[in-house]
Amino acid sequence: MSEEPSALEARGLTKRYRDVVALSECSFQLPAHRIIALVGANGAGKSTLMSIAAGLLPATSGEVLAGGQRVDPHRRPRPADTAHRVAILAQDKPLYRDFTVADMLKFGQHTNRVWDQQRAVNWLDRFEVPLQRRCGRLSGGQRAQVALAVALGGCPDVLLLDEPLANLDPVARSEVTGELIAEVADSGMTVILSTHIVAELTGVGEYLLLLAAGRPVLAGDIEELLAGHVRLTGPRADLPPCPGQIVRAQHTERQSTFIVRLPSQAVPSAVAPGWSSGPVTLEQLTITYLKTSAKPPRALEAAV
Amino acid sequence: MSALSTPGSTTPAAYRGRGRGGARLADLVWLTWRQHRPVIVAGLAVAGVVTGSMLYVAARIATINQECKNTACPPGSAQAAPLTGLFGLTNLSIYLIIIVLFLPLLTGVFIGAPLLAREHEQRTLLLAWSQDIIPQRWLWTKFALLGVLTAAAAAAVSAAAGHLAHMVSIATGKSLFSLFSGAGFLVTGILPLALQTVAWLAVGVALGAAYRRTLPAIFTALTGYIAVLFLVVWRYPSLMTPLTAVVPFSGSQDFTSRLGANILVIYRGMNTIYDASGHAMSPAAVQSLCPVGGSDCMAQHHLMEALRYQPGSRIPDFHLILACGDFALGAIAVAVVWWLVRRTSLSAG
Repeated sequence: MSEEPSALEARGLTKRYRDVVALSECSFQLPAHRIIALVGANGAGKSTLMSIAAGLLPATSGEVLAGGQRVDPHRRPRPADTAHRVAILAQDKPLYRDFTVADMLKFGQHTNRVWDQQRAVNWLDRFEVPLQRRCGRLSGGQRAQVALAVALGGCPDVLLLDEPLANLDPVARSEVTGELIAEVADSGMTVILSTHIVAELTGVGEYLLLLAAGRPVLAGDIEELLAGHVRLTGPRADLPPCPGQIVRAQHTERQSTFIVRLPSQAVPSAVAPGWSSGPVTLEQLTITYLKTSAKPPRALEAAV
Repeated sequence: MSALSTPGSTTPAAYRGRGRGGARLADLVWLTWRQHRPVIVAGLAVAGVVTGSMLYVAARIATINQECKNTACPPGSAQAAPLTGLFGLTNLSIYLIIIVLFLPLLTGVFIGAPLLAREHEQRTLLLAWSQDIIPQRWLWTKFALLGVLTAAAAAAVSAAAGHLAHMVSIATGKSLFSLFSGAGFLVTGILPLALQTVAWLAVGVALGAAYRRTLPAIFTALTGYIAVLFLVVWRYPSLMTPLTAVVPFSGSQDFTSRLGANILVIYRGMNTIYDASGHAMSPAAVQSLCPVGGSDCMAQHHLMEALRYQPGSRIPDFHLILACGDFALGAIAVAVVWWLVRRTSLSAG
């Protein structure tokens, strides 16, 4: 990963709200030009992390770098040519209710140093959002499309989408994710997409950052992560029949099931007699790590 | 459909195009206008209607004044008739001046308070601040544009109010209607009202930033304005050390001939009575002249009383002092807004 350009990097990032720790000593690097899935349970710190990365919320300690530049919590002006632009789309997709959709595009044009009207309009065209309708009279799904169009029109280097698919029906979700993949391929921007519904990520996310209780518990290329984990089922045993780090072990009276992180990214060629091995789905992987993260922090660190 | 349109597109070509975006002053002017145009239009309309009404009433009073040779028309005369009555021109003028007295409050309540509070309520602050625009620049440009507009409108209204008050003072007799007293003093002078309007705009913004909700901000602005108004009305007569004069007893309030027009009488001392030569009289001496008291008896014996007052020549000084107070209030509110906005953190979740 170190050879890839970094879109976003956190160094010892901590955020406290009075007594509540939302993020705790987070350190990670997220690669550029990819769709990154930021997954975590409710309250895991996803929105806080995104808000800090967008410069809307100051960190208690640590720092976030976007494109190698420190994100300024006070959003001081930076020279346009050197600034790595980060845009955020909040969970509730706020829009000015009395603005028409066309006005919202003008808003984007008037408040961004770089603006691609064609890109924004094309996005709205694809989803047949009427430009002259007031935002207050749009459906939830249409509002989400307008908010996405404004975010995309600004041509950000990093686009942070907080639960972007929440207001969309299944067909629209599929279309939006497809279009997002195309946008990333065309423009080379980085999309960080937060969700707590892992099923939404199938075929979308290329890189995973899994947060639990304000800490990253798993990060990496999704294909590599899936290839590097195996599910082993066999007669009851304390240890699995192959080397690797036990992520989760479940035992019944006669049977044991292990999720194991393999030392190399190859499925063991031979499994001991009586044992069967199988791939792990993204949903199983994230749920496994999220459940494991309920254990003391030391165990979690070992698992990452 | 133009060459820029995509096949099957329903979007007019006018909306298409690629290029450099905004985040410059002209862009913020557009944003301010688009976002606040209902309240700007309504505010200017109210200011226009009030100004127009005052100028119309002033013109009618001016005509009457001309007919009466710029003196108070004799009571009961045909010229004086339109001036009297509940909705006569004099009372109408007073009603209009009282409306002007509350224009700064309306500015604070309808323009200032929602400026940030509504953005917080509708979460659009997060939308605005997550663009390339810097929050402080976004806010101060909007504030400056709205401030200039409201100050200009207030100056026009105040000028009209000053003209109307002057006409009324002629029509009612300068001794009865002083430009130094009441709402007439507070809304004239142009600078004080303009600064007061901008100050309450800033107070409204500060309250909206503090509460992050429009209604509590409006209620607090309303309460605060009434409190400050009472404080000003109570304290402004003694903003400068008053002068003292000994004047003959008179049944009327007419001190114009001796002390000049538009004085502000603060205290008419009845404790010490002076004789015609200006020497203080003992209570027994006064009692012997006027056993039952009364102004008429005192006047008949050419007795005199002490009077504490502010001369009309001090009106500009008093307006300047009030303007300084308004400036200070506005400066404090602006500092509070700056501090609150700097501390404002937003979360996407």
